[in-house]
Amino acid sequence: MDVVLVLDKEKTVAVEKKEEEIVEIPEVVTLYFQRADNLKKTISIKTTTNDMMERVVTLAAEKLGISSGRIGLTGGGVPIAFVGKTVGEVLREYNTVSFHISSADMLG
Amino acid sequence: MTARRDILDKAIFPPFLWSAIEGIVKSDKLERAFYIIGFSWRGKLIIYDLVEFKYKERSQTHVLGDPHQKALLIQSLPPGLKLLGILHSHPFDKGKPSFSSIDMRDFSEFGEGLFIVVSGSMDHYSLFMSSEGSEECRLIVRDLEDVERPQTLIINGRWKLIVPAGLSKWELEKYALIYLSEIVTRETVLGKLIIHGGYADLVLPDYCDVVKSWNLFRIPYRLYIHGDTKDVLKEVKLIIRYIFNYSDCELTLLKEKREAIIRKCEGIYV
Repeated sequence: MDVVLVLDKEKTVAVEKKEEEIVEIPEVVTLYFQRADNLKKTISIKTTTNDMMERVVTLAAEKLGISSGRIGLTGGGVPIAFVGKTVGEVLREYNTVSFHISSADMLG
Repeated sequence: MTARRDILDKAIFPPFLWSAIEGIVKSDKLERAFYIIGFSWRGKLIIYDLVEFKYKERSQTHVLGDPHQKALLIQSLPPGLKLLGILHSHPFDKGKPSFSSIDMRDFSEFGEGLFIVVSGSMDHYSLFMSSEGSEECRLIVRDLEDVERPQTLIINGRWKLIVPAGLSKWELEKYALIYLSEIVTRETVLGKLIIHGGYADLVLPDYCDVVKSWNLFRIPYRLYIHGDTKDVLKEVKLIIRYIFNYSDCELTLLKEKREAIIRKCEGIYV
């Protein structure tokens, strides 16, 4: 149960309780990936919530022309930890279907 | 046919940033690397700021950045500004340095950009790479002229467009909309749709614009704050750590203005 503060017109504070929202995610989802350094490069991948996110991200990176093995994923303005997680787990945890992929810069 | 060097042939590096780099590079035997932030205007690249890598690895002969940092840094840039490229040091080189094969591989992955390498003696070499190939780019360390200095144009009270002060009315009217469309798209995706019946409200994400107090130019980096965050200061500090790798920074939070000013941090930084 969440407690939500609601400000009414008289600026008094009322408190109401809201049932915890159950997020229903369809079994088949479309994820959108953009290259962080080139937002014109965008692709979408259709997958299932049981699929491993790592596999989908690797595929997306390949399609976006990122060959580096060191890939970072962000979404909703934060880094996303996706290794070992399913697509469904990532969607529930980060509440987004839109991601940015970037590669690590390595210089010698 | 127009040659690349007729379109873009120089990069202007303000002396205060160059001195900062010099201090950092000369004090370290290990390599250092920095993202170059600025504006590409007419035939030149104007550098306004540098952001040091959040290193995953670092040695005398290589550096490895954090891919999350790069993505979040690009996302935080105000409309108009771009991640122009990378500057890194070769402390082992004396005299004019050159790029290694590892560097060249990284630049090809980066796409279009300005790449600068400095030696331990602060000699330098710069290259501009694009899909058309690579060409040497003149790096000029000098104060910015008034027309090159950044100016802020606040749009609809929310977006702070940063462009050189000398942009013509025509340039501003044409290009500002393109820069604006990029941030509007980004913020729409980060926003929330509140659906009620057959209607919906788009709620753009909450944010805090962060400024470095010591930078000669007031560049507002936009950090996005989650609506359910109780401790904004803590979240801002966390994102600052992701993007700038500053530790223990002293912040002044101006909640009404949605701004935070970084006063000082630990260690040597730019």
